[in-house]
Amino acid sequence: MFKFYSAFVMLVCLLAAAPAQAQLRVEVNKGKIEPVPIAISPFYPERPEFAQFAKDIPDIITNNLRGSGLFKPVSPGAFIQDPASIQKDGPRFAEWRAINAQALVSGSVTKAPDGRTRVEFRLWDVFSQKQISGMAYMTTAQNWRRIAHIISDEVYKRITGEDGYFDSRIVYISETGAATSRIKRLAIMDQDGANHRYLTEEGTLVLTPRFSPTAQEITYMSYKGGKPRVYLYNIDSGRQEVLGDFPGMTFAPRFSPDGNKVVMSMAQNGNTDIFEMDLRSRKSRKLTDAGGIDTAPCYSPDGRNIVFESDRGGTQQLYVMDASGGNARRITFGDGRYANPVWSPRGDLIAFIKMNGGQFYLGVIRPDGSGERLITSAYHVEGPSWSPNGRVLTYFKQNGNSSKVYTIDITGYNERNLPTPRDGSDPAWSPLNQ
Amino acid sequence: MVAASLKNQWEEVPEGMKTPLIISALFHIALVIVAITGLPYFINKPDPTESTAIPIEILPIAEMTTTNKPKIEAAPAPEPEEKVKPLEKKPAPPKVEAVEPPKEITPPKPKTEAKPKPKPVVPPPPTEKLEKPEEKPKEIEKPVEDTSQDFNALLKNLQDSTPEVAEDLPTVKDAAAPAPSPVAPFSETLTMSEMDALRRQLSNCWSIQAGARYAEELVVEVRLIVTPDRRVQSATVVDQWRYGQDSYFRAAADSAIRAVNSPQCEILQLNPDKYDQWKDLIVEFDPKDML
Repeated sequence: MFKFYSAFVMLVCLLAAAPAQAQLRVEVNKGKIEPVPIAISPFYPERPEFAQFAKDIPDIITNNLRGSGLFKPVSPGAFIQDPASIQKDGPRFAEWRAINAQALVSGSVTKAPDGRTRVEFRLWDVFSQKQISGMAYMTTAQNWRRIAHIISDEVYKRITGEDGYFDSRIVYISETGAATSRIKRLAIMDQDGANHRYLTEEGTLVLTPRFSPTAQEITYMSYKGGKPRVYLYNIDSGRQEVLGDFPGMTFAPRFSPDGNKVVMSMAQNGNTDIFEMDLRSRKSRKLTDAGGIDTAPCYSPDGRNIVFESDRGGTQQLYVMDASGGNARRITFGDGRYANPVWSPRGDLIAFIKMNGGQFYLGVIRPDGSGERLITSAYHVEGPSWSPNGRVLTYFKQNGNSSKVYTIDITGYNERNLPTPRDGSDPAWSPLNQ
Repeated sequence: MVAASLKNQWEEVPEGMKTPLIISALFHIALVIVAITGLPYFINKPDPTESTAIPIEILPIAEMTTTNKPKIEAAPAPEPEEKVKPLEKKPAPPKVEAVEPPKEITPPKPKTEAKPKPKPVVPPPPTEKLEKPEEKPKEIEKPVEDTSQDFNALLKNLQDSTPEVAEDLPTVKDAAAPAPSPVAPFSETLTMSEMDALRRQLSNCWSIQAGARYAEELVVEVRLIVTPDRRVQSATVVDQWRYGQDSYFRAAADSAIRAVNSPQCEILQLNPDKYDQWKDLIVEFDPKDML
């Protein structure tokens, strides 16, 4: 017994002593920068009357995902499996793999027991051969376009990890007429240009609309009655109210991230400074007191800092200060003038307009002043506004008497003209629809 | 003489002490063996990625390593214990819409998979080409740059005179990173050429999306179980906890899994004679060279 025990102990010791074979490790530090090839199949219509939805919804999803620059939809002409077959048996992954699709979106349109339309989608990982997301939405038929945007956001989030921005809107100033008698109206549309409508009548000059980060509300400047005033407009109810009279103001104020405060610049006694106003108490507080013009303030998404433009150093540059005022530090040092800074909702970048050598540029820079990049340029570029996920910027370009609204991805490689019925300027992106 | 002396001393030991003495001696011997041969590995596995940096340009690299050792018989790859769990909890429906998640369909195993792979159909080009603004004349300007986090290589910057071209060459650190098993004979370890070939192959299969937030933190380790015919039998994200918590990491991990499952990486470029070396390996997808 003792011998057996001794032998066992020795064996255990020897086995433990045998050096473990290390697992091979391979470090891959480079990949390909390319959009994800995705197949968006037509949806399966349960009834003939749903055939149009079953075609249109995937078309909207395709347009959204392609427009983001992060996806490369595979042409439907290459699809081998039909929607009915996917609905009945699931995807035949080998066929989708054969057309180089890495992901597949399928879906169906059916009638819910309560009579509403039921739209269902599934997102499949073709290589792993499994479903990675799936949702069903019940709605009235009129909402089909919004359902398509919501599905686009789900797909976008599941594959990129970031929230989408497709179920959002853009408010802008619609312009028409000669340069000397320009007619400007407030207008709103989906982020893809659909569902366009006007919010204000002709005849009143309106400027610089801004979306509230927490509600479907817009502030804008209006010269109704010849007096510049800041208005608050509720999109859902259509209700308007005067936020206040701010003599000397040339831009509408910007909301704080919690929606409780606004920050603005006003000229007083020949000097333009930045003020903060509490929307509940309507009390305002001066945040800057340096010589020169301090203007175009914008909060950081955490509400702790404010970026603004100032010529206090001799040239027009961007500065970041504490939200309570003070501790201002300059973040731009390049040639030319910097203006109109807007902090990204995800906090990592500040968009700005740069003027240099007779040309306007749209650029981005990190809040610490590093990583400045100019991503587009034109004779006149202005009014940047971030998409809710901080991936895309909207702005307008002016050329002669014509101005058009554009969007561009922060990579700088996906600039698109946003179709508007008339000329457009001063776009502002909404938060995601609630 | 000595033996006789030891025998006499042993006989003088009281009967009750003999057994404990034997056990004590055995444990001492075992302890010495463990200390000499195995203790460092028993407690702390050495980091296999650490190895001395060897300049690539002066290193003679043999494409094939000769060996007199008998060929390793290809054994079937072990079954992976981990299975990838269902990927996500379904997101909450938007308030404005009545939502119900559809039941998951289990797609049938396609019959075509058993057959030889169909030739890939080249998909038609995208119907719409993304607009790219014309580059304007560059400004001579020197903004404050943090090169360690600079992602200009990926992102457009009108200030740059020429777009940076991502080179395919591995860095010196890359070349030094994958260290073979410390106990494997040199002839059995993967050569640097072999490691580079695998790395290059995986790089070509890995699609990254430009402009991701905090991309430098999205380092994904994937454990691969590879069959003797160099196909990936299973690919598992090592950090399953983060996979379930962090949507950014999950997206990055999914792209890594797609890379090892992609058709271009279906058969890994590995030396079949060194199966023991690569049958179970960790691939670390780290976009640091692209940031």
